[in-house]
Amino acid sequence: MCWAAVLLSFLLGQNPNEMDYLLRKIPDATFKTSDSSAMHISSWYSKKPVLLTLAYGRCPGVCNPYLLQIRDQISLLGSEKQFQVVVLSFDAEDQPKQLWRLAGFNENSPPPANWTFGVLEEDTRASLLTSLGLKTQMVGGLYEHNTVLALIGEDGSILQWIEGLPGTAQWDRLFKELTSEFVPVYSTLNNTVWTSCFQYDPASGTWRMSWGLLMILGPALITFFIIIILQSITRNDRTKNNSSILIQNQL
Amino acid sequence: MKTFDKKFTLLWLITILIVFLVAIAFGITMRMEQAEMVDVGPLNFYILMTSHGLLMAGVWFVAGMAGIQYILSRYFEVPRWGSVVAYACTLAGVVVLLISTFLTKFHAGWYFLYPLPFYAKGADSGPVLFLIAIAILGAGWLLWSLVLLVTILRKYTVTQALAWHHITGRPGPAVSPFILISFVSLIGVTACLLAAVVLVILYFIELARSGTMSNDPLLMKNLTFFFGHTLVNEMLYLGLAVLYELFPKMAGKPAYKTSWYVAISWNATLLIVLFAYFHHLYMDFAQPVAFQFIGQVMSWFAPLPAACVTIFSVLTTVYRSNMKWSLASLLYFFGVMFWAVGGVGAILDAVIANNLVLHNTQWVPAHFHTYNLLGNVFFSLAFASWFADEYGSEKMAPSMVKVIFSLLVIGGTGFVIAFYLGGALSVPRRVDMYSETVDEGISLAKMAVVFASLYLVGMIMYTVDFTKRCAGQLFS
Amino acid sequence: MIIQKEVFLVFSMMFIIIVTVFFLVFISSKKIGEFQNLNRKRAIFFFIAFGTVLLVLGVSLPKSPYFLYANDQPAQKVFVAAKQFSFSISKYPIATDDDFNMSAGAEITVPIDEIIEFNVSSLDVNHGFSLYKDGVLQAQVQAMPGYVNRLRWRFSESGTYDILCLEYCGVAHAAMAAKLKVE
Ligand code: HEM
Ligand SMILES: [Cu+2]
Ligand SMILES: [Cu+2]
Repeated sequence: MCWAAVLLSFLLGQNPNEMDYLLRKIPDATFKTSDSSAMHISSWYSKKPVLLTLAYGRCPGVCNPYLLQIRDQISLLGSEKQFQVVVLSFDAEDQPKQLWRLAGFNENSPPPANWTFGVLEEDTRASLLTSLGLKTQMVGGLYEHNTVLALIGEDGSILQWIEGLPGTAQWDRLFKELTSEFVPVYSTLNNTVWTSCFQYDPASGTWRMSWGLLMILGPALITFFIIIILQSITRNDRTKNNSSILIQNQL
Repeated sequence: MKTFDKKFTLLWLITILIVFLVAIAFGITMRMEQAEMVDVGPLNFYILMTSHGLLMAGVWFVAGMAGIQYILSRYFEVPRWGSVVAYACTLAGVVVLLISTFLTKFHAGWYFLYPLPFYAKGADSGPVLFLIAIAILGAGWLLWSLVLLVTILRKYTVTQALAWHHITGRPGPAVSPFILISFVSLIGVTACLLAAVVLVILYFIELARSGTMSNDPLLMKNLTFFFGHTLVNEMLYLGLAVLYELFPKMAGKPAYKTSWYVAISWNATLLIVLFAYFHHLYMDFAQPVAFQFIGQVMSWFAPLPAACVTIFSVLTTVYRSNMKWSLASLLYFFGVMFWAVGGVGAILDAVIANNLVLHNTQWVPAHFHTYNLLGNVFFSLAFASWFADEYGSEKMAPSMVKVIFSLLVIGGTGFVIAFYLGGALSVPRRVDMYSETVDEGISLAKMAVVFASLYLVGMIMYTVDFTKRCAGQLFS
Repeated sequence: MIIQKEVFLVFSMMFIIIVTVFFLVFISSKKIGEFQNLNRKRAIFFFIAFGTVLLVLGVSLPKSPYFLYANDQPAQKVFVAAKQFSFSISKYPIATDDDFNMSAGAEITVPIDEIIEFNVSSLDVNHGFSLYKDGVLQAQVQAMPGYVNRLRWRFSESGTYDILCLEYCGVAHAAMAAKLKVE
């Protein structure tokens, strides 16, 4: 049982990257909004938590389904007023309104007040992308990129960092953080640590057994095998001595 | 009787008594520093603390092992080299330990909680020397415990030694409680010494690959207490095994038999002990709650089989026995009593909700000193007294018995009560001076110094008397 | 009554009971006789011991501090980092040495009767974070490097609380302390 659990958790091992981003501060980048005014990200996160993600308008791939899913999930949450969703484009050619489409909004059904779309300004774009771990590459006039969803706290630090489409458990975890639900511990181990006994799963805010646990089980298991081995190497002595055991009661 | 076994046991006992006196002197110096009666400074305080802790844990562990070795040798042919190698390793380990603490100023505490050895290291060679000391001690003891396991396994299969046939009622050789308890404890000892091996290896890997690899502090803490807690726990059971063998005879009663409930108890203990150490990590919220709960449940179930069975047996043995008390039987009987007292202190601390305000206060040294200083030490002293009565030139004079016993009991009790009061008054453990917040600690330390000195006097008298009666045997 | 006193009382009671029982048995050893009804008394003894253990476990486990105020909203988050031999306490996360130095020595004030969430970590070795009021330990949690432990606590008394390091962390461990104001 135990073994299976340990093995399983090893196979399911989560993405270790997250610890590189957690609690780091993001640069206070500026962006252009749809009414073409310039705005700082801090003007949102200083007021309430920000769910920040990056996309670009002409994206033929992931951006559209990604943002649609985010929109779906958020509508399930209900407590929308507690935070701001900020979608920023890293493509200088974008217009903020083009981005609406990605999340299924248009002129007839414009985004609600807790959604903000904008296009990053040149000067702070690169540093923001690095701080969020967003990697882009121009291929044939289009960007290849990963997707990142980050929860930014009121001081501009990354409280949650999810790469790719968040799973249900990750959404759970994110919403727990948004609504300040209690998780008694999280990990900030750096990557020189070669193994640990439990792996923190930021997605669900819970801890999974990890193969480092074998280090603790190890001594007990080795002892077990040693006893078995000792028993077999002493077999001959035992048959020889069987008759003399009775002396024990006489002594 | 085989003279080698006798002489070597004697050598062990005399060595143990001498090291014990030194370690007590370290302890009293620490208490004096806390009482502001001397001023050795924080560094020396922690050097003394590190040395005291490891010397004490080591010395009473080998005392238990020496007792087991001796009783086993009365029944079976026990290979001698196990004990001899262990003796050499113990001496070498103690010397290297004292060099690492007193010369290179290593002061990270006897269980060297990761990553403190890299910080509280004194000279750069401090942690290396200390880890080498641990490795020498660990290797020697591990070998010894394997030798003793082999000795038992030469007569019994594993299931016989675990007395399973006494539970199921199947036919098989009679297994005395002594064999059963020794076997169970030696298995535990092997497991925790292996944990020490893993721990030391992980340290050395990190030392060798400085900077590019580090260990998970939580994993290391688990290993540390698996080793430290289990070792200290099992060494008490080693002393108990000998008690089961000797005490009924002292009371003039028939030898204890392994009944079905004794067998079940010690099989349960074998498992329970391995999980109790979790209670050292209660205040680490990183440890999953399930483990914390297992820790509390196991800590509370641990005393049921081992302690309750023993206490009940000892009480019923003495009840209206018309026995003649000797120092040995007094120490056994009241050792069990103080073990029970210390056990109560321990399980109260093992309640997670209590631990929130007792963890790392003096409640901790309070309870473990109770069942070491007044429990485990009493068991081993009882064995030594029995040994001296049996083979020494003469029996201990009755007036001497009274004086020594009173000094040990009064001194020990007063000493630990100072710790219990400290725990109740939130005085932290392991500090060389008490800040204003917890300055009650100072007067308690003064009280402890007085009582510990009584204990020391008692121990000096004991040691002198023991050596006088037995030293002749060593050279005969 | 504070927990420490309760524990001490229970302990003293048990101490007296144990010593009395052993002493009575010790005195009885001068007489000759037999222990009557051994098996029955042993069964009763175990039954009581077993029952006590189950009772205590049932009552005490749910009171564990891991779930303290878990379902409430903390009014304030406080970040605590420990480093040989001082604490740094801030309203913002402390992840690096720079963060640490920035808020080292700063005294902060938290509101009374509100839930405060302490996020406790260490930048070097293991330390302990403890809250003392007038010399009485109220609560504690370990500060382990690589982990952030969260302790939720509600202060019911105003005044200055002493924060002591409760895990041995090196030579100046005894002097490692800080203060927290509750108003
Ligand atoms: C009269 C005899 C003794 C005296 C005066 C004494 C004194 C002390 C003192 C003052 C401390 C430090 C307490 C603190 O944390 O503030 C201590 C710790 C300790 N003692 Fe003793 N002790 C005695 C006997 C024993 C015995 C018999 C054992 C074990 C078998 C023992 C094992 C330990 C251990 C393991 C520590 C913990 C060290 C650490 O925290 O690293 N002591 N003792
Ligand atoms: Cu500290
Ligand atoms: Cu400290």
